[in-house]
Amino acid sequence: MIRIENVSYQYPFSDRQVIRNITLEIQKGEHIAILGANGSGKSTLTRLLNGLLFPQTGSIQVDGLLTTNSKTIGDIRRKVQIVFQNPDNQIVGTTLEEDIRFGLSNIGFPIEEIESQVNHVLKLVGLEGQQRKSVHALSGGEKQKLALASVLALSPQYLILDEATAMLDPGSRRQFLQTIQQIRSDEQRSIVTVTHYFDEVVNVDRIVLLKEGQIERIAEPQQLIQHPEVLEACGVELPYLPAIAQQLRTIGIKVNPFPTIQELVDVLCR
Amino acid sequence: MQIILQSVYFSYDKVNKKKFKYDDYTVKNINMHIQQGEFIAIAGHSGSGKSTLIQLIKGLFSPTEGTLLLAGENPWDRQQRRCTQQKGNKTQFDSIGLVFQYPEHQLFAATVYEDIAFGPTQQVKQEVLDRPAEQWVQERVKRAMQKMNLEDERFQDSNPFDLSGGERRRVAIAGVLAAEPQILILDEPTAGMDHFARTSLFQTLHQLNQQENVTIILVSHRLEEILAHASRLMLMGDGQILRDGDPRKLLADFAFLESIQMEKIEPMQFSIALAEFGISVQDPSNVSEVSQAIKNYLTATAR
Ligand SMILES: Nc1ncnc2c1ncn2[C@@H]1O[C@H](COP(=O)(O)OP(=O)(O)OP(=O)(O)O)[C@@H](O)[C@H]1O
Ligand SMILES: Nc1ncnc2c1ncn2[C@@H]1O[C@H](COP(=O)(O)OP(=O)(O)OP(=O)(O)O)[C@@H](O)[C@H]1O
Ligand SMILES: [Mg+2]
Ligand SMILES: [Mg+2]
Repeated sequence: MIRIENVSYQYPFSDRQVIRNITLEIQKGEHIAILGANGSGKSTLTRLLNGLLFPQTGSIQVDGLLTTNSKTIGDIRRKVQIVFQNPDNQIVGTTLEEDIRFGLSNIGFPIEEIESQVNHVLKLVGLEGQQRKSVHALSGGEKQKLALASVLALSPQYLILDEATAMLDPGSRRQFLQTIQQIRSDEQRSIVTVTHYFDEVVNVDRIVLLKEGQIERIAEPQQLIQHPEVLEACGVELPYLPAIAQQLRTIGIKVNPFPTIQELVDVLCR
Repeated sequence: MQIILQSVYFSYDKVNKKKFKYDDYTVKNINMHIQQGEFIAIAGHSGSGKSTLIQLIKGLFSPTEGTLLLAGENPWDRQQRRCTQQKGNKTQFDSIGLVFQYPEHQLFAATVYEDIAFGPTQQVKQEVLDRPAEQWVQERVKRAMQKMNLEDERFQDSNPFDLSGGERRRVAIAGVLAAEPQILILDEPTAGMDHFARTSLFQTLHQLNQQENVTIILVSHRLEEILAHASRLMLMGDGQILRDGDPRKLLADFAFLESIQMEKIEPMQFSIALAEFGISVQDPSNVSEVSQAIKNYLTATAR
């Protein structure tokens, strides 16, 4: 479990708190989403979770270990792995294979299993057969896939995805969401998804809405979808079908707030 | 400025100084005509060659084979010097603004203001101005910042590297807008943007397109976005342009989309379902229009 207690954070040389008094627990096996406008503090919060940044007030514990304890920070960084918003910030190898191997060696992954793990994760993200390709010859989406593969390879206990699918094509995005669902079925692992798109997180356990560094609301997707005004104030657009359901409800037509196309079509047959 | 590509092929092998092999073309047999003032989208699977193609148009690479014509001239024509020189030191490529897929890599200045002012400051040296240079630059920067929702005072003097991912991206786009190009190419511009920023970006694009006749070329994986905004779509796969036409027609061909790793999108599916009830909508991505059409149908059938 990650326990965030009364955490505030201000960047050095800045006069503004960008995380303000946040308290939140991320349970083992839980999938949480963080949504909010640009600059609301999503990435900052994720960087606090694995001790890349330290809170000025409050505390963060990962499985009982404080992120500010230098003796255990190594453990924490192994447990909590982030796929960063910009893949160039984390690609370290010169070939795809080297990049994935690097992280694996770092965590002491059994040497004889490294190769099959590399092949496994490349396949997961749809880059199979490209292990010897240079990272400089990757397209934008391929770079993002590599960043995902390198972190997936480590099977972290806490997987943090900071807009990690923004550059994927629709097919790859759907495939990746399926991979995430599989990881989720492992009750020992937790996932935190940061995104600007509500439709990518309709299946999560809880959504945390951030606004100007504070928690505006924590709710299940099914509940949150009924408050489009709250979402919109946080820079989040209602997905297409719920948006139509919403408009229909304002004119008195009862329909599921999270409808399928069929459910909307059924309205016409009433 | 008209853009024409005639049988254009491009291989990175030459750029990477490797031996050239015939089957290593990254983009192949590209033929296109784009008129000034069009609003075009390009979509295709990851690695299909979208970013490569638009960098060819911007002149960052030259075609390995085939011809690129801008305003009827070949800017690479070696007979007419390396890059055709127009008045001042300008080439046709300078009239094209390109927002890269990861535009934050282009940021370099110490403050947001300086970064956005870079383009206009270069232009000051090349153009005849109707007012003091400093004021001219300032006005352009201000306009560009407004267009990207960066009016908040804290932005102007902050270091672009101290901004959030989405904020940085908006600064980078403002930098391209500030040069006020005739042709604006954007590579996945909305990735990382919140809903406010996306809405104002598209308002800006339509305004530039309709009022100033700027050509817009939008590369995007968000097919909903394309359906809502573009009037022409090019679908790419394996380095080729596979389809070129009306987004509403192309995005309704679900079988084809699936075959190129694209997905059917809800607005399209729903409008097809509505059509079976005789309900037709102009713009399936317009939620109010669709809801109104449903409401009208229900009122009519209730009688
Ligand atoms: N290194 C830094 N120094 C000073 N301020 C910073 C720094 N990095 C981010 N900020 C500011 O902190 C605030 C929160 O940034 P953060 O990156 O956490 O936002 P975000 O919610 O991830 O936004 P986005 O959706 O754009 O990625 C922003 O207002 C940003 O300008
Ligand atoms: N500098 C380079 N050297 C060699 N090959 C490259 C280089 N840049 C890109 N490629 C390859 O060219 C192909 C097309 O890349 P491009 O960046 O044009 O794709 P894209 O359609 O923009 O993809 P994405 O949607 O992922 O951004 C890819 O297979 C990529 O691996
Ligand atoms: Mg962020
Ligand atoms: Mg690209």
